[in-house]
Amino acid sequence: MITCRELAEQLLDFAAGQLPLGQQEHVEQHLRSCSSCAAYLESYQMTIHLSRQLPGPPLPPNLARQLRALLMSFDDQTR
Amino acid sequence: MEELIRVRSTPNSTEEQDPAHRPPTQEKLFDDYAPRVYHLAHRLLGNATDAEDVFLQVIRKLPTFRGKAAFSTWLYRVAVNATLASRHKRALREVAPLPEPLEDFHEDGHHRAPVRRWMNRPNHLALDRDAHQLMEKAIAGLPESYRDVYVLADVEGLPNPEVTEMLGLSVAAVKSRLHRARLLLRKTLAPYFEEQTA
Repeated sequence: MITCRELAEQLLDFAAGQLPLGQQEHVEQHLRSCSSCAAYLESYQMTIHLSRQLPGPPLPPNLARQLRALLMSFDDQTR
Repeated sequence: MEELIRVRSTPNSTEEQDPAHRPPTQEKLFDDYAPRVYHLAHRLLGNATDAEDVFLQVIRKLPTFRGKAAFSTWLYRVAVNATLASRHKRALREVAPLPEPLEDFHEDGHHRAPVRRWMNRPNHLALDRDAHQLMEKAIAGLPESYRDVYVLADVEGLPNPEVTEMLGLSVAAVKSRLHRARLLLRKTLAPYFEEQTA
């Protein structure tokens, strides 16, 4: 059976469903018998999920004004 | 709705006739693409002043878009190049050794301590402003070389081949850095999200 560390090393490919079948079975077998690794995998996937939800800092008002001015100047140039 | 800029050359290939290769409307640029450029620069550079400089550089380059790639791909490339150039100019290169995220295992390969489940479900955390701030701080604390890959791949959701090309790295290097960034972030966030013992 693979160790917890070996499982952690393979999480990227496992989470992406890109592990070869044999290795995937070894990981799944380990996860069934190790609650720490099951929690580790769950929190690894949650980290990715949360990152995808981040809204990002708002555009500062002065920058938004400059953006509008630049876009208007492009518009004038193409007329 | 009026296009932001007119592509100067006449589209002559199937690719260039693809709607994704056309410039966006001003509204789409203002509401969607421009904030994405600012978020990207802010996260990669770690401060608002430099992010604003990069943002304006990228916006000024919009009239050079020729429709040879999808607009979003072109925009990300320009934004990443401007960001890396800005960082290079300030000579903010890493000198500290990179942290080892797999140090929490014994030599026999087992966890040093039991791993606890996280108490909140993702859907709940996604609505939580404090959780957002915590995530942003954790991402800002990543080593630069890991943060670049993480922001592009996991925050912006770009596919690995695009990240590889933008950063001039091999696929193996992108995967390795992405994995290490995820492990480090997981480790940083764990104390805040783990279930508490009774």
